[in-house]
Order: sequence, then C-alpha cells, then structure tokens
Amino acid sequence: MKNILLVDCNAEVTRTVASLLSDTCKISNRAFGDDFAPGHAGMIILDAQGGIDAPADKISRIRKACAFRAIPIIVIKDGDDLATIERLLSAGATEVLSLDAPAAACRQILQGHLIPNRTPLEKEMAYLTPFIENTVTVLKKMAFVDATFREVYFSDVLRTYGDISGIIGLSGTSEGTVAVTFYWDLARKVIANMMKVTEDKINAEYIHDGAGELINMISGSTKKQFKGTPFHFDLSLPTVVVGSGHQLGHPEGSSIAVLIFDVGEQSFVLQVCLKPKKENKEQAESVQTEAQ
Amino acid sequence: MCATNDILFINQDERFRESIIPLLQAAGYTVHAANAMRNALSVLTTHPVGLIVCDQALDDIGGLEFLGFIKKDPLRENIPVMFLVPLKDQGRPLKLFELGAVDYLVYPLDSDMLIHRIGQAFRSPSQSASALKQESAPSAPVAATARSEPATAKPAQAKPIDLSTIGVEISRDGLLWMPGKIKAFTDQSISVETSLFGKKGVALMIRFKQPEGMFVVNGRIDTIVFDDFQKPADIDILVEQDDSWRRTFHWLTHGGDAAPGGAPPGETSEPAPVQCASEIEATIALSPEEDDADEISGEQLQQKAAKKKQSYDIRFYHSIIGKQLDNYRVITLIGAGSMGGVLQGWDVALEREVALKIISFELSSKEEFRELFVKEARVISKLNHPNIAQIYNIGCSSDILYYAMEFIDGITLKDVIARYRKLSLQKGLAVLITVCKALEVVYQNSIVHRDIKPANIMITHSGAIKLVDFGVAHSRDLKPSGKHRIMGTPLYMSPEQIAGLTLDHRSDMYSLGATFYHVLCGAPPFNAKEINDVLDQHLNASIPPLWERDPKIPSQLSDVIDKMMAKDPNDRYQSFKAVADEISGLRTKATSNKT
Repeated sequence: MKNILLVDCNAEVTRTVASLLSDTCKISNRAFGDDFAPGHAGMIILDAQGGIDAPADKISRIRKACAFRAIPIIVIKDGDDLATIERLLSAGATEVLSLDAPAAACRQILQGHLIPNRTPLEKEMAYLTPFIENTVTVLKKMAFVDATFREVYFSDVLRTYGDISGIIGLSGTSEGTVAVTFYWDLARKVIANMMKVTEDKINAEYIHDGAGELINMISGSTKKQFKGTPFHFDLSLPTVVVGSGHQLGHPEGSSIAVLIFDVGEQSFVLQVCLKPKKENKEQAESVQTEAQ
Repeated sequence: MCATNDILFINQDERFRESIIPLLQAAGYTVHAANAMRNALSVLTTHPVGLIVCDQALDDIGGLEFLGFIKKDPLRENIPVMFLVPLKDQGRPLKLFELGAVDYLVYPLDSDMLIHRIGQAFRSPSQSASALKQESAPSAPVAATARSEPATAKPAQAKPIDLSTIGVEISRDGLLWMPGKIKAFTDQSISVETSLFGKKGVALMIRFKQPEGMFVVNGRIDTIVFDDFQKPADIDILVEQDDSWRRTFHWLTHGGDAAPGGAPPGETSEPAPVQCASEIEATIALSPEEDDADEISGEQLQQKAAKKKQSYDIRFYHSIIGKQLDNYRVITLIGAGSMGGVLQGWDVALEREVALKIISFELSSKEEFRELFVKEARVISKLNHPNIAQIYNIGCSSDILYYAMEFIDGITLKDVIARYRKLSLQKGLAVLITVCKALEVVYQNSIVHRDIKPANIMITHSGAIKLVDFGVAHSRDLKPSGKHRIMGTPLYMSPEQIAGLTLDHRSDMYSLGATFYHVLCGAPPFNAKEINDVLDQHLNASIPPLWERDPKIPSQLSDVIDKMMAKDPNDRYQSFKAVADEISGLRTKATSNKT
C-alpha cells in the first residue's frame, strides 16, 4: 500500500481523499512545520486554500525537504486562475486540483501520479554510469566535496526545483541536455571551493563561472568516454539558470534521467536527457507531390 | 488614392467571411464576398473594386494562380491585392510580392491590424523601407547602471506594445532557450527578467515571436542585477543594430504592427492555427434519449463543459508520462479525444515503439464502458491486414485500462488537408482504394468502425496507408444501448448514425464517401457553425456535386462519391470491394485515355 501524507488538510479534503484512495493507499495527516520531512510518503497532498504566498512558500520548503526525490506534491486549491496555478507549479507543486473537479477525474489523476517513476533499463545504465562516475570525480577533484550517488529515476517533468542549474546542450550522434542543479546552501559551498574564494565573496560572476564550469567539466569528461560509441556527443556553451521552478529545455518527448547525489545531509541532482538523433524523414511530403 | 472603397474579400471559409466582413463594413468599406475565382471574376466584372483581399487558396484555384491571372489582365492589373496566409507558409510572401501583391497578413488575424493595413493599401499600395529607417535613429549609449533603467531612451512611437503581453526567449547557444519578460527597452538595449544567468559581456540571443515569424536579436549582457538568490535576475542587454532588431523595435513601438519587409528568412515558425472551430471535427457522443433541447441547444455550455473535461483528461494523461504500465514505458501524449487518449510508448520487453490507447477517466469510471473497451479490443485484435493498425495487447495497470497497438509514424489525412488543402486526384484515388480494401476486411469480420474520417486515416513516412482508431467500433447489428449511444464525428456521420439506428458497414461507406469528398476537393460535403445544422444537412440536404466544387474532378468520380453518400443505405454500394473495383476502373480508363 502506498503512503499518502496530507499536510494542513481540513476535514473536507481528508474526507474527499479518503473516499477516492483509501482502498489502495494508507492516508496520514500532519501539520507543516520547520522540521517537516516527507518520510516514506509516496504522495503529499497540501491544502492551499486562501492566499498564495504562504502556500507557495510551504510548497517550496516541502519540495526542498523531498531532496529531489520524485514525490508528487498535489495542491488542493479552488479556482482555475492560471497565474496562481503557475505560481504553485513553479514553487514545486506537481498538480493543482480543485475539490470541485469530478471525483472520477481526481481519482484518475491521483492514481496516475501515484505510479512510481520508472527506473532505468540496463542499456540506459550503460550511458548513465559514466555520468555518475564523472560527477563524483569532478566534485571531488575540483570542489573538494565527497558526493555519493543515491538513486536514479526517469521523469518527464521539465521543471527543476533547485535554486541554480548549470545546463549544457548535447548534439551530434546523440542529442539532448545535461543539467546539474543545487540548492543555494550547497551551491555556495561548491562554487566557493571551485573558485577558491570564501562563501561571502560569491557574486553573480562567480556563480555564473562556477556553475558553468562544473557542468562543462562533468559533460566534457563523460564525452571522452563515449567517443566512438552511439552515445557520442558534442557540447554547446554552458548556460546557467537561477530561480526555483525554472523549466529546462530538454528535447520534447524524451525521458529525463534524474541522478541524485548526496553531499553529507545535502543533495544535488544531475539530469541527463540523451537520445540518438532521428534520421531526417520526409513524411507525407512524399505523398503530396502534384501541384494543385 | 483609390476612387472606390469597394473590397473584394475572397475566402473559402464561410464562417470566417461572416466574421470579418461586418468589421470591414463597420469601417466604412463596401465588401463583396467570394469563395472562388469564378465568382470573384463575376464581382470584378460588375463592381468597381478598389482592393482585393484574398486567401492563399480559393475553392477552385490557388491564390498565387489567381494573383497571376489578375496581374495579367490589363483591366484589373492595377487593383491592389492583399493576401492572408498561414504562419508556416514561409516561401509564399516573397512569391506574392514578386507577382505583384501589395501586402500580406498572417493568421490568426488581429482585426484592428487588418483594418489598418487595408487602409494603408487603399492610401498607398506599396510601402517603402525608408519609412522604417526614419523611425529608428540611434540614441546615446546606455550607461551601465545598477538597476535596469534604460538610459537616454529614444521615446517610443505612438501606441507602444503592452510589454506584459510579450514573452521572449533567451539563449546563450541557440539550442537551449529560457523564457523571459521584457521590463523596458530603448533602441539600443533591452532589459529582461529571466532565469537565464550570465555576466557582463556574455553574448545572448533573444527570440521574439512576431506576426511574421520568429525574430532573433543578438546582444551582449551589459549589466546584471541579482539581489534575491531565489528570484530571476534582471539583465540589461545591448543589442546589435541589425535588421532583425530594427524590425523588432518597430514592432515593439508600433503596438505590434509588423515592419514592412516580410517574414524573417530561415526562421522556423509554428504551425498555422486551425481557422475553423474543431467541435464538428471531433468525435462526439450524443444522448438523444435525454432532453435534447437542453443538451444540444445549449451548445456553448456543452462546449465549455467538454473543454473542461478534456482538460482533466489531458492532466490525467500527463500524470502517467514517464511512468510504466506493465511492459510499456509511457513517453509522450500524441492526442486526446472524448473516448480516450493516445500516447506514444515503448515496449521494454520487445523493444519496439507502441501507441497506448488509454480510456478517458469518465468512461473508465463506468463498468459498462470498461467492458465494452475490452470486448471491442478483442474483436479488433482479430483484424489482420497490413493497412489496419494492429492491437498487440490489452492491460490494466494501477486501475488504468489501456491497450497497446501498432505505432504509426506518419501524418493523417486531416494533416494533409490542413497543409495542402486537398490530395491530388491520383493520390486520392490510390488512398481510397487502399482504405476500401482495409474496410472490406473490417466488414467481413462483422465490425463497423463508426468513426471513419480524415483524422483516422494515416500515411506513414514510407507512404503506407493505415486505418486507425477503432475506439468507437462496434460489432455489426449491435443495437446501441446505454446513455452515450451515438458516436461519430459530425462532419462525416451517416444519417442512420445520427438517427441512432442500428449500423452496419454501409454507415462506414457513407463516412468514407464524406471523408474522400473532403480530401479530394478540400471542403467537407456539409458544413455549418452549429453541430445540429451539420447533422440536419446529413439527414436532409442534397450533397453539392463534387465536380462543382472542383471542376477538375471527373463526373464519374463525383457519381461514385454521391452513391457512397446516398441517404438510404440500400442505395449505396453494398461492399467496399465494389467501390474499389469502380475506382480502379476509373483510374484505368483515365490512364488509357491519356495514352
């Protein structure tokens, strides 16, 4: 049975969720606090009625507490104002549902989100393993931190919920993107070590150079191992992105491998999206040839 | 200046004409409507037309051909011609200007812009680039300031665009684009709020989506303000003073009006939005036992409810993307309808692409529909024909009912119509014969497809034809039961389908006839604003002969389509083989006539 954690949910929300999912899930209630931890929750449902700033802040903190794990955060909020929904999604919500939505729709949507993200196939680990090894090596050599690979899952979610990402585009035999994402506390430590300055000296320039260089090194050293293989790629210029909930530009329709690393109590992720380039195909242009 | 304010407005879409013409009349113009060259010429003969506003395709001829004809006519060559083109039609604007058009606009139209440009066309048929140069004299260099306050800004022209409505994208390498918002701009610089980070001197590209297409402006970061590490940065970008920026600056300072000069070369653009409402092209389920007056006459409410329902369905399908259902990895959503969604998947065991058809949440919650879904999948899995998409497996994972089927990498006839308006005659006949052969197998297995339409006939990239989506298929002679018993797509539904009668393969015959009517001439046999009116025409109205819609279509073929679409099923062809034989005979005759 999957565990669903209801956070700050009133009686009505609790009753509704129970009516939809109690036959397949174990439901528990908790109030949000500074020491919030998701535990073994397979889904978190947060009641966000009234206002937007406080719920958005709660969502950000819950998402950070999830430490990049693929735990869906479902926000219960009435209304369909797109700006509000976007704000909540940017903060870290997976889905925003209203109690007014048809019960069958809610049930199916929640069931869908409860399906765990899949794990990689053997042939996918063949290209992920070098990324894992090189990430640990680069962090050790350049930033003097010990990173431990924890877990990997596949996701189609384009948003990343850290504070800063270094992203690099891949093209050639394979195409895709690779991104490394940190929360600020760990990012400052890593960048300060890399740039050989104290954390209080970190400014925009150091952030840009440090994050860019980090993803460049991870991708560059992995690229060397793929030479002559179907996974070989060329690198574009690194891009640095800041602000939580920013959306990355992974190729459409592709799965993104999310590799989670721990540095002590903190975590960061490497997102790898890699696929062989499709051959150029003339689709129905070949069928429609005669001029009108 | 023209002595007359008469406009000849040529467009095949009656609804579109009806929506635009009153606006032009309100602006003081006398408007004459036409949908084809033959009636356009009739208007030109009888009225003093001062401007022609023409769609890129007419009922009986292409827009370019019509323009060429007009410009060769000494009596009409001086009438200015303005075109309306789809956004994706890259090469056409240049060709239009070469042939003598004075202007063009891109769908979707902004009515204010249309009227403004028509006014300009009446005043001065051609515009010069010098007018634009005068507007963009360079100002003093931007000072490097801590905050994004553009220094020595050249004042914007009348009616600057509302910046809050513009979304731009920013990239460092041209591959990865991040969204951004414009905070302010001068002719020298742009201030944006964006998640993309950088430092002074870093080169960036800014992409603007304008009516003519995507414009990319190059620049370098001048200043970057990053106070709150949780929020995006404010970046001032000094832009390169090239043609792309000049056009963009004009667009920003003129309320979104495009600078003259046409679409940016080499830029990709998005597909043209569908001009017509799609409700009559989507599969529907009608419930005639209920209070029809409320269900159908409150169409706006029905459409709103349908859209909301579809939104929940889409969210449900997105919730399973990236997940795995049994052996199938769900990759991306291909499409969704009222019956269910189709997603692209990957069979991890057999290592092949599949299409996953997933029943909609609403039908899934009803046991009768779940049973029907399974039963029909079993029947359809027995169909073994190279032109019918095969079902591989049916499953239920995490209470999600689905079936896995052959993944068809191609486009539908609906896409072909949208892109090219119609199929050529030879290709159309070839596809029709192939579909008839496939439907003969369906018929022999006592199955009625019930939703034959252009969207359910696919052409693979290798040119193979595939009949897809048996989602509403039924065993023959099975009298519809239950609440939602009438299934189909209004534009192509047979009279007996509309009437809720027992269906057989001859209903598919009618729908196939309607489909190929549309595919061969570019317009469906019946069309109207309201679904009810379309259905009524199927029941009661005579079909406009195909050869009248397109004089190039032989009358014998027109007769075949007419017979396929006879109101009484007994008057139609009784087998698809008979249709295929008839069409093959026509093709043979046409080929031998040529020789």
